[in-house]
Formats: sequence, structure tokens, C-alpha cells
Amino acid sequence: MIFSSGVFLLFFAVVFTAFWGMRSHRGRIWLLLVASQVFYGWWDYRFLALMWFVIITCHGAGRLIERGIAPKAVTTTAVVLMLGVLAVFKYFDFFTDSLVGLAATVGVVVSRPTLEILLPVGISFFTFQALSYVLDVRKGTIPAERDIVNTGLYISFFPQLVAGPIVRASDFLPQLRQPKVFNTEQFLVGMKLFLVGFIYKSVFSDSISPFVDQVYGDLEAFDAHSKVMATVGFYGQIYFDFAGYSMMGIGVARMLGFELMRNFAYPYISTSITEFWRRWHISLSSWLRDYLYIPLGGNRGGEAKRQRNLMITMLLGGLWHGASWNFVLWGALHGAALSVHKAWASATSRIPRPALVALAWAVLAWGVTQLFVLLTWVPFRAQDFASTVDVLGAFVGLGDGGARAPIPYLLILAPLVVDTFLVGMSSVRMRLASRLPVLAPVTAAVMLGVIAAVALTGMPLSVQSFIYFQF
Amino acid sequence: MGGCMELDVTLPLVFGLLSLIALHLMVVRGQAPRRRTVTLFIAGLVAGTVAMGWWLSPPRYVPDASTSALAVEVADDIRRGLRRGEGGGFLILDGGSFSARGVDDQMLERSLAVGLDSSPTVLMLSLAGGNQLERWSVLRRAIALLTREERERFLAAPIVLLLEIHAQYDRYPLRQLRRNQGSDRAYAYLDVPTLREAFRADHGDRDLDHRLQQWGDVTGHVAVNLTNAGLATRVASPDEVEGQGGYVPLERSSRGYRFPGTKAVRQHLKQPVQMEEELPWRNIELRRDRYARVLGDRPRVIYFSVPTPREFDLDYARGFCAAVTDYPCIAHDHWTLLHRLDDAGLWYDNGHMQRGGAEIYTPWLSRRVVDVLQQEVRS
Repeated sequence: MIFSSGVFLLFFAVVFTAFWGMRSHRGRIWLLLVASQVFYGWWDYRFLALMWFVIITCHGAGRLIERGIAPKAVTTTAVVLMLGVLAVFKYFDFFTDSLVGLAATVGVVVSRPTLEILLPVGISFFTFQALSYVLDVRKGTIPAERDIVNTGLYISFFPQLVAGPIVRASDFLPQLRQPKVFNTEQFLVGMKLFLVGFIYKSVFSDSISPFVDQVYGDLEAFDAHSKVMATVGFYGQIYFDFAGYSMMGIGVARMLGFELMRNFAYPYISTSITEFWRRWHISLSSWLRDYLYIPLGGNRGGEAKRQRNLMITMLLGGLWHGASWNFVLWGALHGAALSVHKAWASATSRIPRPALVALAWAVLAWGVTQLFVLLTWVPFRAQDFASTVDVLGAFVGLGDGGARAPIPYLLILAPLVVDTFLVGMSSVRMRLASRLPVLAPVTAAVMLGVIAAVALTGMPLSVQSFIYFQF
Repeated sequence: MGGCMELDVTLPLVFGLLSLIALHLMVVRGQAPRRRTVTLFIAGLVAGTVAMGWWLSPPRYVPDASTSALAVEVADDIRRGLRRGEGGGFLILDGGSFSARGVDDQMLERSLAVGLDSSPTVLMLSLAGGNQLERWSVLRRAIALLTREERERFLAAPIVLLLEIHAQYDRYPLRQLRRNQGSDRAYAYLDVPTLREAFRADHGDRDLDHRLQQWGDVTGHVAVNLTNAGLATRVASPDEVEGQGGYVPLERSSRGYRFPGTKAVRQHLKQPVQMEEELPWRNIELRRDRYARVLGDRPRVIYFSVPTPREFDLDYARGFCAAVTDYPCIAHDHWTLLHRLDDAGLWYDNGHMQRGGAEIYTPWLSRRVVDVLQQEVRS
């Protein structure tokens, strides 16, 4: 049940009507919990047991830690259990394949274990939420939740369950305790966010994906220019797909009276890789910062340790995205780029820049940053190292033997240009918006309905699965 | 429809970009009651859906499917007939793949011109793999492409409906849907009027599972069409669509096909007529009704069957013509015709003729249609 499907729209219509039709706050929480189980069970009800194992583990651990019963041991056990869930269900095949491959390189033949494990949808998201809850209770940042219904809803809340944003307990649990009152502005903002996300995901991303899939699915058949444009296409596709889906989730939550953190802030306007990571998948990068980078030592202990901590964080961040060495490479490249940028920024920060030079500098920095981001999407999208090398070669004109694919230039470039330069640059948007009248809620509701109808006509019919589902 | 590629991309993209900009520029302040807000949102959604559906429908846009090429062809033929203005009216030939391979519409029109004082313009609605409801939808689409004046003149002209009889399509008006579900063609014809007709029709002896599956398919397609989901990605401008279809001749036999000859079927002519009690009467009536609803009550109906080397098809055609006594019916139970068709080089497979077969059958059919029409004039 993905957000842009008819089944979800029907499901949400029922949940929304029942939620606001109910007077009891407790009843609403139960409704959302049940709805979240239905939503998750729609994919594979068997994995509900796994999710409840995580819920019970983190809830129980929180209670024990707060009571002071062996807090260190309990924390360690809970973290090991939850990472164990992730390791078994997401990384088992990756680890065994890697070990078998490593053994083979030193001449040892090891038979591969034949354990075929399905990857539960959203496992990376809900285990990270559970981990942050236990660690926050251990640090004393938040009190342990006494009601397992609330903990269950925090972990399984359907708008953010399968694709984030990764919600913090300190943000979410207090919202569960406050009785909800329908707020028209919040509802309309939620609907607006949902529609923006819907356009990103269903109109832009799903329209670009057939071209990208065609070229990346048969690299030998296409020329260098097609491969370059397919990579540019993927640069747009992954952003619109992920940001769109996150935004739909945030919008759905907002319509139910919950505020979830922003997950994307126009990352393609970034003029440095550091800025990129402040704008891209914000809930993950801040999670990695708070629960991995800082506990590893963060910026303390000198430059070498800082570099080490950064690289470990980014390597694991890469691995979080998928059980493949390509993702590790992607994380390593970004880690290295962050280190280089840090050094570069401190070396050049004192150079005076007059306005014109600063502008040219920013344009150049934007170009270099985005080229780097573009090139590092290649290992992210390619199936293996050979394909990665093939596509990267295309950027310098190698492997030009194949045919030219029919390239939808307008479809690839227009959404990126409009979103980055018109919408993303808030000053342009604000200036335009300030000249328009502020709408009354009733007018806005009608307009949003009309826009929804227009957007619906633009979505390609076969709904593509969300790229990040498997992460 | 290769020329439609650019449109496929541009229209949804423009809608997406305009919607995105509008959303980002929208600033809302104030409160309103929940029910009113939600009701107004739904009202906007419904109004927007109706407006978009109207705007993206003929004559401005047609479904980006091969059947639209046939609709454009039929609309062009209607205009051609109106320009001729000889009072001969139109002959609409509604058939499946047997007709699409076995009846040459141009030859039919020429032959009719020889036999009749004022000859009709032939509108070939034959569609390989298209069931009766799909063909009916093509005619509606063709009419929607006409201007109001053209439409009025067309509907005022004399019209003859030449309806192919076929044991499968007569019994199962949604035949082929399961195989083509989710295709451009399926979305093109499964609209509300087709749904209404599908509900009214009898669907033969399909079991419950099959029926449920079929209803699921129909309702799913219609729901998508009603909400306009993805409509901008599924339409093309009629100017971009090149009219084609109707008679699509075959030039060789199907690989591995062994022609059984027509001797057996000719010998079968001696058998008494059977099967009329098994006819799908409700569907036969509904088929006439739905054409009457589009064309008015005036069209004259003639049934006909396309020859095959199968006894079953002959039995069905003879049974049909024996039972449907209120309407002229031309069955292929003709010894000489079947004898002339006794040549493997004339057949693609057991249901479809090659070009040579069509060249034999079309004049034969034409002569009988002329006879029927002249007889009606005399009576």
C-alpha cells in the first residue's frame, strides 16, 4: 500500500474520517495503532511479529533503564537485539556473500548458507527509531514511555513507517499525550505537502524512471550520452522519489494533527557537500550525527580522530541504504568529500571575496558540488562495480559504441530546474508569493481539490514502488 | 502513433509543474469548520476531475491507443461520405478479426456502388481482438470527433448496420478483456457507458471466479477513467493520429498451420440447422439497442457471418439466421462460396482469411447485401 495508490487513498479516507469523528483521545490513539498494523500488514502480515518484537524490546528496555535495573546491560542487550534484527533480515546475505567471496580469494571454498530471508519493508527506519528511543532513555533525554500502545504507535505510525522521516521519540511521544483538535490551517498545509509529494513521486519520478531503467538495465546497448543523461535522470528521480514520499508521509501525519520533522530541504541548491548533507535525508543524517558520530567522539580528539569518525559514520550510513558494496562505496566517497570540504573551507574561509567574486564562487561551488553528487549516484544506481565503471567512463566519452536512447530531455531537466531554482530558492518563491493574496481556508480547500484533480491526470498509470522501500 | 511521443511527456509535465508552482505560491490563513473544509476540498476535486475529463476528451484529445487510429479513420470516412452527399448514407460494418481479415471495405464499397442506385459509404469498425463493446466505443469516439454540424448530418443520413455474428463475441461481450487488461486499449474503451452495457449483458456460462475477475477488471479500469488517473499520459491529439485500421489483410499462413479444406464443412451443409436454442438472445438484443442509442432508431440491421473451415462456426451462423427472423441474415452456408475458398493459400488459420480469401468473400457478401437492401426497398 504505497501513498500514491488508490488503495491507500481509500484507506486514508476511512482513517481520517474515523479519527476526526471520534471524540475520545484514547480511542484515536488505538485507531491509529490498528490502522498502522493494517497498513504494515498489507505487505506481509508475518512481519508484524518482527515489528512487535522490536516494539516490546525497546519498550521493556526503556522501563528497565528508567527503574535503574542494570541500565548499561539492558541498553547493550536492547541495542544488540535490534541491530541483530537488522543484521539478520537485511544484511545476512550480504555478509555471507562477502565472506564466501573473501574465502574464495584466498583459495578456501566455502558453501554459501541457503538461508533465503525476505527483507521486511521499512526495517531500517523502525529499528533506528527504536534504537534512538532506548539510547535517549539511557541518556535521560526523555522519560521512558509507560504505555506500550504509545510506544507501539511511535514505532509503527503509518505515515512514517516505511520510508521515514526517522522520527525521534522526544518529538513524537509528547504529541501522543496532547488531545488533538482539528486545525484547518494544519489540515490544508498537510494536504498541500501531500500534493507536492504526490507530484514529486507520481508525476516526476515515475515518469523519469522508465528511461533510467531502460538505459541502466542494458548499459551495453546505449551510447555514452544516453548513459550520462540516464544518470542525470536518476539524479532527479531519486530526489523526487524520496523527497516526494517523505513529504506525502509528513502531509498525511499533519492532516491527522501530527508534526513530523522535515526530511529534505532542496538539497540540489547546496553549494557544498556539507550543506548537501544538511539538506538531504535530514532525519537520517541527524540520527547518524547524534547516535553514531558524536558517540564515536565527534570532533573531539584531534583531526585524525575526527576524520576517522566521519568516515565510519558515512560508511555505515552508506551501508544503511542497502546491503551492497556499491552503497559502501557511495558512503565512502561522501565521507571523503566531507573531509576534503572541511579542510578546504577552513583553508579558504579567510580569503576576502567581494560581492561579484562571491557570486562566481558560489556558482562554481554549486557546480562542483552537484557534479560530485551526480557522479556518486552512479554506484548507488548501478548493479555492480563493472556497471559503475562503465557509466563513469561515459562521462569522459568512453564506451560510446551503443545506440542513442530516446531521451526525454524536458522531462528530466524541467522539474529539476523549476524545483531547484524557482521553488528551492526561497527568496524567489517568497517574492512571488508575497504579491498574491492570502487565501481563506474555504478558497484554499477548493483550490487544493482542483490541483489534486490536475495532478492526478499527470501520474503515469502503473504506480512504481518507492525506491527507498528496501532500505 | 509515433508522433505522440512528445505529447505523452509534455502534457503531464506541464500539469505537474503548474500544480507544483501553484501549491508553493499558496498561502493560507484562518480557520473554518472541518466538515466545510473537507466538503469544499472534495467539491474542488470533483469539479477539477470533471473539467479535466471534459478537456482531455474528444474532439480535443483521443485515447493514445491503436483503436483511436480506427476512430479517426471512421470519422474521416464519415466526412468523406458527407462530402459525397449522394443520399446513399452509410453502411457500418461491425466485426471482429474475421471481418478485419476477410472483408475489404474499399472493395465492398465499390461493389455496392455497382449494385445500388445510391451507394452507401462503408465505415469499417472491424477490430482484431476487439470485443463488441470495444467496437461500439470506437464508433462513439469517431462520432465525438465530428463537429456538431457533421454529427447532425451523419445521424440524419440512412444507416445500415452490418453486424458480424460470432459464437464467442456474441456470447461473451467482454471477451479478450482479461488478456488485454491494463492496456491502452482497455482504458480507451472501458468508460461509464461501456460499464453500463457490460452490467446489462449476459456473460455466458463463465464460472463465478471468472465473472468476479472480469467485474474486477472492468470496475478497476472504469474507476481509473472516472478519476482521470494518468489520463494526461494516455491521450493524444487527433491531429497527431493517423487514421488506420479496419481491413488489415494477411499475406501468409500462420506458421505451422495445416488447412483442413472446406469439404467437411460443405458436407455439413446437408445437416439440419441446430443450435438456435443456445443463442445469447439478451446480448443480441442489447447489441442492437446500444447502436440504436448512438445512431437513433433508424438503422437497418443486417447480420452476416464470415466463412471458416469449421463446422461449428457454420452451425452457429445457420442457427442464428434461422432464429433471428426479424432481421435479414447472411450466413456463409453457401456451397459455391465454400468451394471457391477450398485453397490453403487463401487462409491464415481456421478463423482468418488471407487477402485472396477476402477478395473472394467480399464481392459475395456485397451481392447479398445489395439483394437485401433492394428487397427492402421493393417491400
